[in-house]
Amino acid sequence: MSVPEGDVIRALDGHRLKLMILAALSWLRQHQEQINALNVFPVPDGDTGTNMMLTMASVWDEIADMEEAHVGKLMSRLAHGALMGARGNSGVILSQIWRGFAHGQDGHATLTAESIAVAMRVAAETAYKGVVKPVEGTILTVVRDVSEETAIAAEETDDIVEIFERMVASAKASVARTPSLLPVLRQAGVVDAGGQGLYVIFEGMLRDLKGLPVADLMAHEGDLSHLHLDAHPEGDEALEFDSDYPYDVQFIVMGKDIDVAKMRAGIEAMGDCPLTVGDELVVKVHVHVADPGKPITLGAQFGSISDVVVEDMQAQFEAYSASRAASPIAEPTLRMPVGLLASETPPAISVVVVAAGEGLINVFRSLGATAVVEGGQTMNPSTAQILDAVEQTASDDVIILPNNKNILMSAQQVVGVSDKHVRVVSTHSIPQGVSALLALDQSVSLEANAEAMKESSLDVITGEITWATREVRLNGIDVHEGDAIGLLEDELVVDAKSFDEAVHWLLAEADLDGRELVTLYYGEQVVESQAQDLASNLAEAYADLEFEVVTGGQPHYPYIISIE
Amino acid sequence: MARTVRILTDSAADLPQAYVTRLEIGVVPIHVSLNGETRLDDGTLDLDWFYGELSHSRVLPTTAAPAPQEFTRVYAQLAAEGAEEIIAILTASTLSSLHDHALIAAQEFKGARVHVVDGTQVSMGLGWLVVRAAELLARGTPVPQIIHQVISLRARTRILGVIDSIEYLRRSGRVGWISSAVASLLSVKSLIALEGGEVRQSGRVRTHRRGLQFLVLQAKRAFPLERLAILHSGASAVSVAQLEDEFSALLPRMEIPVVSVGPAFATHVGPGCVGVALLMSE
Repeated sequence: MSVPEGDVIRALDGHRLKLMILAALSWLRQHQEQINALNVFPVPDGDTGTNMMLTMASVWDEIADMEEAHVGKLMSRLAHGALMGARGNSGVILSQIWRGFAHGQDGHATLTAESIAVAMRVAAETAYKGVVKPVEGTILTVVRDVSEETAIAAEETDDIVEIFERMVASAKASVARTPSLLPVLRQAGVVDAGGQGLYVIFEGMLRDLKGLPVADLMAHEGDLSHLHLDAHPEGDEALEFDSDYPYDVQFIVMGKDIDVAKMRAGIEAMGDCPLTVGDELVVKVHVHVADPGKPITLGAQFGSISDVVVEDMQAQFEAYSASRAASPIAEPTLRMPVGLLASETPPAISVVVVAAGEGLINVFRSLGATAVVEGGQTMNPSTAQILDAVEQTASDDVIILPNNKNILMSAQQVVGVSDKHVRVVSTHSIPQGVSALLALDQSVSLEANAEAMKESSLDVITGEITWATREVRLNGIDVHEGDAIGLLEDELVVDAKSFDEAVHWLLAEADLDGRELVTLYYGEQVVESQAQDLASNLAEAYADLEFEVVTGGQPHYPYIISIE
Repeated sequence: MARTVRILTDSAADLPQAYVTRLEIGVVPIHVSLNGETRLDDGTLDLDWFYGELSHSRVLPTTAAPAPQEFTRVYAQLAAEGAEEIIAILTASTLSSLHDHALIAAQEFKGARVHVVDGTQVSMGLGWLVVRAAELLARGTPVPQIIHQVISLRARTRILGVIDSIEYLRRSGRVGWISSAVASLLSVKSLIALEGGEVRQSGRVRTHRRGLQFLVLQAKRAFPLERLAILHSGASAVSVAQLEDEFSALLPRMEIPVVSVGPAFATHVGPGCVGVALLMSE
């Protein structure tokens, strides 16, 4: 579909851009799972798509109630929304792109070919500056390629539709090129997820510009969709919505000799985005359905059901688009985002940690964490959520322990926006976070603490056990979907048939020289007696090591292992 | 030759017998109750057995300060041996009523002048003060100067220790901050520092190895030292030997006693702990 001759768009105002942003959000929402699946590690928690979508949802929250014709003014609010809603590293880089774009568009009332080219150039520059060690073959490469193509296109045409068409085409080509730039992508057989997300955003904007449908299954009754439909200039009345499967259902089945393939076939027949992974003992199910009772009933035929989560995706989406007046932490994905410890006298230094799982949250609290932002691998908290936890502490000096590589950048953003003295101790894992927190000393300065905590965090070796969500060959290891896999210091080192076996092999791979203590934080898929049995077996195999079993309750990781 | 001035302390000072004998130091034994039986901490208790009881006994042993009349008896005995003045340097008044009982007895006692000094310390932290006082005395230092010296030396004493579990300190009820501390869900070893009669936490680690590293590091920060003693409540011989090696290398000319702490300190820190008692240089 193309715009008719004589109807060339040479300038866009704020109202029009706002609709394009909404379209980008909807389009991204629709491609979220596809982007999530582009995970280098075949772990069940790839959520680049979700992170970018939630970052865009925050952008929309910021501008939803604006009636602003001036593009520059709209963009500056939009950039603020992106910054506050940034989740995960890809979300943070996306927020930098919007910030740069807004900066480049500063003072311009309308979006023109020329101003887009300038804004894209600044966007690419800002994105690169936001990363300490820029890596090619990522979203950074894509935004730079797009900015270069936009500059050339703006020399040749002032037709904005054509500009966006060339932006989208160059984004697509750039994404396809990412595996040739980044060996780890090539090895895993995927393109870069963040780059793909950016491509989808541009494509969503273009589709809106051209009057193509963009709505996704969640948007059909949301506060936004009618706005979108009514205001659409060349509104395609025949927008189609897939509203058949409004419920997101997740649960775990535990049993004996579970026929995973049979269960998978049953689940797949029920709805959308089906995921049935696990082994003969534990299976995780995730599916979008019309009737949440059906998959649960099916699962119960194979074993005992636990950890059931049923989410009304439509309600979720509506909540995201609710007015900005709502508390930024009142988002449904974080059921208990901030927990503050009642304390008689505020500590000189507060520590805000990010963790998921009741047990881990309690561990951090018992060690003196002031606030726990619920989140982790699967649900990266936004900058705003971490900021809110920081602001709620009674101390002027605050240390953040992100406990995950992918939360590092959102945590770093808080340093720039909070009025408090904030330091991020770059902990990459739960064990590192625990070790860092132990070193907290209220009698010395914030700086001295940040340094001592960082040093302490490096004392531990981290192991993580999860299951593979797809087949892959990595580091010379053949992994099959549903296999138990072990990551040692973020490197895939083990493929096994059971979680217990994976722990055994992981310890065999680890350098245990001079180590004394192994802590097994067992996740929500594991019951305590199982973990205790495993620890007893390990204690027999490793007479020099002490084993401690601690309830973590974390999702997706049956075991998180701390070796120190 | 009968001394007209005597130095007195209590058995919680954990002073090795060699010092007691050589410097003619009087020691008031504290009471230890274990399995329904009360006995005196007079050097006859088998400490290894006691540490074992601390680990295994369902009912924890308790310790109690001697009553004022027991102090009176000891004062009378020293007076009978020829003492005209007694300098009693005792366990921190913030941690025990020993000091108060000694003072009550002293106010009533007519047989000699008794000076009661709050040692603000325990175990060899107190022990080093007592040794210094006795050495000053042996050199003929007048009593007021000895007391003045001991009081100013108090600020230079410190005990550093690695505590396997803060539960013993918590149950002792003598350390305020611990009662409000949330019980850790992980096994955590605490580094503690005792000075000025107060116990504070100076660090937390998860392994014994890291605990020893921190202990040495924190001790080194207090250098230069006049005295150092290694303390333990039944810790492994390997850990104790490791500390001996490290400190012998750091302080080649110093005599470093290794002291098995008595029931008073052991009951409050628990078994298997290691530490050092320091007397810092001026």
